[in-house]
Amino acid sequence: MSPGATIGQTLLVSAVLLYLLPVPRFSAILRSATLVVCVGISFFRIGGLSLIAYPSGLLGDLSITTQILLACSIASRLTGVDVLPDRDRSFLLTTAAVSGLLLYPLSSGLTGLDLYSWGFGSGVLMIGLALATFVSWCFRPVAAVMLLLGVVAFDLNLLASTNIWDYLLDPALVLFAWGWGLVLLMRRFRAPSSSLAPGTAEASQP
Amino acid sequence: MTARSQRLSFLALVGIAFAPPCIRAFSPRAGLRFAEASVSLPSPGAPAHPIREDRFVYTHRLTRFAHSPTLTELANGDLLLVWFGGDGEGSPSVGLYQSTYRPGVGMWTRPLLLTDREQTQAELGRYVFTLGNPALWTAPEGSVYLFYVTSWAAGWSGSSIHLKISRDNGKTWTPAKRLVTSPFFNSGTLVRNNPYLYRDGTIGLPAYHELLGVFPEILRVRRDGRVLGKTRIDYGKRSLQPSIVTLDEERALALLRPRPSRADRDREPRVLLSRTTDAGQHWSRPAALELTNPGSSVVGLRASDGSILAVTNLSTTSRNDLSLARSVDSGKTWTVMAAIEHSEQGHQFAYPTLVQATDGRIHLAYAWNYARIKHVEFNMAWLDDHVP
Repeated sequence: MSPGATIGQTLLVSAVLLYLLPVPRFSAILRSATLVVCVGISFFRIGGLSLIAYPSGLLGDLSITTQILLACSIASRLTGVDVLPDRDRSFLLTTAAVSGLLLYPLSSGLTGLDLYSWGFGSGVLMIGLALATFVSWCFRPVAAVMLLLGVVAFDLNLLASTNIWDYLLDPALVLFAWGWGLVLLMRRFRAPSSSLAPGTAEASQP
Repeated sequence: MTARSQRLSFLALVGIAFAPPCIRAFSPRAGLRFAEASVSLPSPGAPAHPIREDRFVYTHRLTRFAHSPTLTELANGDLLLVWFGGDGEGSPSVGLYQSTYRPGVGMWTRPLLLTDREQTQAELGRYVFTLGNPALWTAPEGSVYLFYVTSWAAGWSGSSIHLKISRDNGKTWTPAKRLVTSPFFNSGTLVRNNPYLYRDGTIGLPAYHELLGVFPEILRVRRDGRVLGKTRIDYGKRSLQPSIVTLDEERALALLRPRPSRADRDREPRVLLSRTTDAGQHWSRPAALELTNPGSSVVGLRASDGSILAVTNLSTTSRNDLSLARSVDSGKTWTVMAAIEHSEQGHQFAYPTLVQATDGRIHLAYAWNYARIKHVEFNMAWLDDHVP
């Protein structure tokens, strides 16, 4: 497993464990100890394989974007403070959801166009991504930094893949983004009907 | 720091980060070319009389199920055969087995387990459910490359491709390395037929995809297993399992296994053929040949006389026959030369693999009723003797 993949799977397993385990609220030392325990459990061997080998067999390597989001999630869980502002998270998940809608159907052979194959070194894609990174900086600097880190990881071959898409996007992130989008849409659809319900306006008064 | 200077600093960082991939993408490169088709000439002393010899690779029942053999000639002139066997296709008990054949001796060595699920997952540090098709290739310097399929599920939608290399004619193998070929959980890509060489030393790996779409593609792979690019031969769900026959440095044809759909039930399924004239960067839309095929694996080979051989099941419904066809006009027309196998008892013959050794003899191996691997050896004189 590549170094990037090992880090990604450790972050994933640790994040899941941190949400399952009770995290001490007041002691920074105990909170840090919880993280160390979670990382230790990630490498615990079951059936001859470490715990991270199981999600790795199914999910493959997690993209740099997902790894940063997982790291933010772990930090938020441990500190109780939202490390990633809501609007940045929304922007990232929307971008991932839309990109996934384009990338996966096209790479599954439904048409002759293969967007994934461009990721092996298409100059046009690289120029497009460079422009997108710079433009993002003006509106969503956090997203721009994530994109930039993904490209730096690609330059350094931190994952096993030689395709830039695998550094920016992965199906776990896209599926999560689609789920998040679906929940958001359902809330939007429900909101008008509940606001029309008798007594709602009064009930919402402080 | 002002907003303007922040913006300029970030622009500089973007420039630094994107410079290496952009330089690689836009740097002038020599056009992609196939290495010269490896056509060997029979030695002057080769016998002129027709020879055909049939044998099983092993006579005992090694595993309940045996399938998908792949052959290559080693640097020392021996043949190496690898296939997968176990309790059944998609079973966790499946392993890859290997055996070696020394021309002249007329016997295969005792099969050895090359790798299995446990070994592969230990080498990869990833969970593996089963193993699948292998594809062998011998590099000009003698290293043997074994590409093979693993899957994290019982079906092939969870499959990915792995590489092992042997530098001692198959005695020992490097740990498995996983190729990253697909964006969706790196799943759905398989190999079946033998790779080929590009002039720049990279490997052309005929592969196919089986997740949502079912289609053939070519992966260009560095010797260390890193994927440099991929090109689709077809899309949709019409064809799979390409077998590439290079004709010169730029032209090649791909014989494709058809995937008959319900919409095609009124038409006889036939072997499909696609062509490239730019060393595999673009492929023509596959066209049906006159060779019928029930939707099973087909293999092609450019023989030393320049003709193209294809081995396929000719029946439209069953794999109970296996036939050899030949084309002397670069794949435009085909003549069925000989029936290799035919069974009225319902025996099945599948997944042929074909090589021509440096002594000029042609070696064919295939799954015999999914229980054993059979080897048929013949020479060009036998082939010429079967011109209808």
